[in-house]
Amino acid sequence: MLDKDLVLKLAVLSKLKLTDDEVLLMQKDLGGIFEYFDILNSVDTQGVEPTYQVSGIEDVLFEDEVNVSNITPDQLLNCSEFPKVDNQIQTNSIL
Amino acid sequence: MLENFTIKSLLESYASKKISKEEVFSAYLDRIEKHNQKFNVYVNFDRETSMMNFKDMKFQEGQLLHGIPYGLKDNFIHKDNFTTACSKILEGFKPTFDAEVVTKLKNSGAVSLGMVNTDEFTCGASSETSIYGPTLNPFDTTCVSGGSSGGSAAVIPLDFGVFAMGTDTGGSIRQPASFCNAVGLKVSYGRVSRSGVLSMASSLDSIGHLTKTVYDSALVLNATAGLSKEDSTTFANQIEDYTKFCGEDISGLRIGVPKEYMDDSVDLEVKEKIEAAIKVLESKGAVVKEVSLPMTKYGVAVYYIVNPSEVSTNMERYDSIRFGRRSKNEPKELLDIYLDSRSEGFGIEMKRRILVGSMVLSAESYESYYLKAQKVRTLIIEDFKKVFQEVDVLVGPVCPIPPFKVGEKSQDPVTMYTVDALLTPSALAGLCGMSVPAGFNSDGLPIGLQIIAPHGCEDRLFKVGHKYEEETEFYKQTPDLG
Repeated sequence: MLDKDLVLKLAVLSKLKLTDDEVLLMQKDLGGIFEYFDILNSVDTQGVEPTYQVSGIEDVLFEDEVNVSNITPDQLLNCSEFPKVDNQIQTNSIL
Repeated sequence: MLENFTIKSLLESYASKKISKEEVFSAYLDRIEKHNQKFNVYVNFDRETSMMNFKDMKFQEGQLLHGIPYGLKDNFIHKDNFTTACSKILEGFKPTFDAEVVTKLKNSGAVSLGMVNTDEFTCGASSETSIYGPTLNPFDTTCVSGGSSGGSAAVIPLDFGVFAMGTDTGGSIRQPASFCNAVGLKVSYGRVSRSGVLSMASSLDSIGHLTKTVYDSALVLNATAGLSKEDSTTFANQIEDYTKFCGEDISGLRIGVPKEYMDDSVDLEVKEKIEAAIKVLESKGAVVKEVSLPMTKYGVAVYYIVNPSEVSTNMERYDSIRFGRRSKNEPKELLDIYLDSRSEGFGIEMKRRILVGSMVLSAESYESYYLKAQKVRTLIIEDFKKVFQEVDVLVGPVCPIPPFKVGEKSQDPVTMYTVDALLTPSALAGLCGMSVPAGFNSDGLPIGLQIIAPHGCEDRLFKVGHKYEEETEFYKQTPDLG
């Protein structure tokens, strides 16, 4: 079982609001998952470099060409359920 | 009229004018309309949209996949078709453009029948995390069809399309292919452009497809592979025609069988089928030897640290503001919009992965989990490099167990994660792999043979896969739809 406060802290970091049942479930599930990760403690990784990507490709460069899109601003705005004002999406204020 | 159409045989039928594209496309739609409810393969299916896809096509003689109907996994951006990643958070989302690979398929003459089921944002091994519920196994509807590309895999034996597109991040094409008697190809990382495919774990995601035969698989790759300006992880395609490897002799080819892939964790009947498959390859002249990949047992743990890290990062963009479903709750401030929409929109497995990702990337845990996992990932890659000095390809089971029952594993995440124990290591290394039908167990459930080749060596998969298929032809066995 993971500590309840830790689950609540992770929820804040994740921008998720969990119900009481979900908090309990995550305490149990994440507890089991992190216990399973302990298997890695037995691997000696001293001096081993981490791998972040496997493509081996570095510095991909292309000519900076103007690419004219045939998608209209209205089509993009219509993907949002929020009100539109002056070609912009209106949301609540940050504060 | 549609049973057993492959891409190859359908192209031949078109060429001899036996049948028209319109007739074939509508016959597939009829079949889907008749049987889809029983298996839950297509999601948001609507005949009018499918017909619009057909009418928008610019057919030309000689196209690689001229008039071939296919199913598209619900995480490929598809213009004017609902694309939801089988998540509530994208409910009602109709993209304004096509994923690059969808455009390539269109230009090749392939026509989309519609979107097929997947685990939510492809996070799962059974398609049970889909908001639309699981896709049931065509050979036994009490079992899952696998996942995440469960819908794509079920398309093949049900003849709900001639092929289907899927994605494989940690086994999501190969495992469902094995569960549904289909050929599933996971390409090398970077072989096919990911542009316009909803990102799950960006250092692992690869685009592939499911077909009836190995030859068909090569045909589809001819249309999808190649360098892309839209995805800088892609590499130049040196091979114009992958079908030329189908039919090549395999005598003298060195095949390795990792002993860790055939240990006691593997179901006895699965093991028997794989041993029989190895004998077939041996009889065609391949030189088989046992090899060892000692890091195999760490694959799932590494994967389930790396994957949630990247999932939690990729899921940040789903804030319900620019696109997707918005919570109906009245927000007091901007943060409420994020919290309410995300909490209502993501299912429980997505929440689990986002939380795990936030944990392993946090300052306190970064070194002991994330960094540690990326180091073990290096060791897994070295494991493969070493064996590929001795052998040309590896073979083994796709999955240690046959298709499991709906609900059997969905309550315990770790049990579900370990289903992909033989698939995550090669995914972490960016290798290519294939699942080829290897027969049925005593319950009539399909079993798949896994072939793994080094990065960029898909040619070897086609060579070995095709030879095995030619000798066995298990793909010809189809389910009884009743």
